[in-house]
Amino acid sequence: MKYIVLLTLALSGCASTVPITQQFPEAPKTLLEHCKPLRAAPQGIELSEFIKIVVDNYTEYHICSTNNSAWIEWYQMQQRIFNKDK
Amino acid sequence: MFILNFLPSWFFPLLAVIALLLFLISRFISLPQAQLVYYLSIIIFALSLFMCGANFNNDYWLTKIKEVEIKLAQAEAQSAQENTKIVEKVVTRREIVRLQGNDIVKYIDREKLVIDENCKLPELVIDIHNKAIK
Repeated sequence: MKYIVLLTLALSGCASTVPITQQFPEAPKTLLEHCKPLRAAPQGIELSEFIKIVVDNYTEYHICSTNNSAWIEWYQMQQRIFNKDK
Repeated sequence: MFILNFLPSWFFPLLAVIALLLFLISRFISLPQAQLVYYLSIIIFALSLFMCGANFNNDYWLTKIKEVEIKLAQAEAQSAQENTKIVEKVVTRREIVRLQGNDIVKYIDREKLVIDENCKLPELVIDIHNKAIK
């Protein structure tokens, strides 16, 4: 009987682990794309071709800027959701 | 508590009642080993009361864990929903930007003769542009 009491007391000290793990929220794959490098202009090209390269570079900038804004929005939204109940 | 995972919740209240009954029996009915039963019943009663409290505490935290799990699941669902909205917005915006770029390129192609007619591009301009993109 003495051993049973001792064993009960000993086992009662074994705490179980809390079974909750919060996963870091997964970002959309669309946002994980890197910005494309800007295009350089070769020497001796005509002005019209040069302007096309400039326009392409501006387009890439705007796409990259859209991604950046989306990241900011994603971060703020995730923070709002996961801090809501704390 | 580890031990509470293996015992049903009614076990310790039942043990407490049994210990109480043993205590009363040892007090009012003459038994062989009455002294031993008397002291054992007190120890078992105290222990079972302690374990009842531990069980209650365990149940309380399990309920809390369930609540947090539900909240987390809701937050994850909301997060996934908002992710879809953001992706839709980004894809639409990218498409608009690409279309605008294509329109400008088409316009340049149409006006190619006018643009190239009287202007020869100095190499210096291209050098400056290429330096700026690095």
